[in-house]
Amino acid sequence: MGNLLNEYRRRHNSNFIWGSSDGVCFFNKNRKPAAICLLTDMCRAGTVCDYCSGRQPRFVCEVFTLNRWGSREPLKILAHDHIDVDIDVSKFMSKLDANFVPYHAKDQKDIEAWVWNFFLQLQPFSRCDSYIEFAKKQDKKDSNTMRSLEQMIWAATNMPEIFSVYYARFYQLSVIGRNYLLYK
Amino acid sequence: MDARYYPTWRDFDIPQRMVDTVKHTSNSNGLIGFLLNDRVFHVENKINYEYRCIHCGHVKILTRQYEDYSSCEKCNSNKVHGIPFWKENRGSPKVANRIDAKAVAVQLGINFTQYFGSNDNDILSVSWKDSDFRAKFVCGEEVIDGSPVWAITKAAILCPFLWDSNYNWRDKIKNDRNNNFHISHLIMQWTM
Repeated sequence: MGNLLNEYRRRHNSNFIWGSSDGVCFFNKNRKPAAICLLTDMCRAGTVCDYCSGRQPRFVCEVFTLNRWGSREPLKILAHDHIDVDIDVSKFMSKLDANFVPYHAKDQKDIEAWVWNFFLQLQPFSRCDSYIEFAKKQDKKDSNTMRSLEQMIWAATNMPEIFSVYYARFYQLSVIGRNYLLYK
Repeated sequence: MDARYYPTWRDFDIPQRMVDTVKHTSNSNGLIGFLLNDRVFHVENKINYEYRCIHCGHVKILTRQYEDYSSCEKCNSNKVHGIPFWKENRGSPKVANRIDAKAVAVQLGINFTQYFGSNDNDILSVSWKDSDFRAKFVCGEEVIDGSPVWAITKAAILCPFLWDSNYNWRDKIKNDRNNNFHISHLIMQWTM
């Protein structure tokens, strides 16, 4: 479904983002990862939204941004709204913040690198000595995606508990079981 | 002399550190079993859902994707938090007992034909090197291991073309996205 929507958007030169059940879009702000937008069809058995007790429309758009440093939950809900399926998600996002720019990924690895860089804003390794040594060894000719993947491997080896936070709180939320809607 | 171009790890943005880890990982590690299913046999991850009641903490795991679970079965609360997840390989499947080297080599031949369009006669070269076994597929890394099964299994996993995220193995389409390619999940496997 995501691929078809992308193809349509490409052919018609449109920036319109359609909602899709179990869809996800990422948005940058000032060229940095800033928000995750989840699009979900309400559970068929439920008649009332568990979060806001709303009933209609049944399509739910939820926007997550980073919480403040030191908060118990790494993400906070910036918006939770019931929208019609034919509403442009990019316009919905620009109402929340005019600086939100949709991120178009090339492939699956770009998505993972985006989520990782989003997580790094909360958990910077720049003060860690072993990370500084590792970063010096990284080849500057490598692409940003490859460098992000190397960082992930470094973190998984040296700080597995931090990597598991990334996996459980960020990756699981935004990637598993979801269709990314903004491929190039 | 083979004139065909075989892609390298750099072509697919796969870090060398990941390749080295797979090559030298312990044979009893469940990581190899996971990678074999994921990269060579293209077994897709099945999504399970964990529903956690916000009021009483009761956890219910559903394995069928479209099964409904809108209220807690213990306290009937409507505040239920659903979390999708993939099964982790904590059970450490015994690859050596379950998979024979021939099945791995045959599957790699099928993958090779599908990806490159034609099959060469000898894509696998093997030999004994002192007391160790050496295995190398024509397009992949050389692996030396004490056990032939593990050497061939690791050599099959370490063929770069299997890691092309722009190839859809199910639909046999190049330049399409492989939505089953998840490096974070793969890295998570070896942190366990």
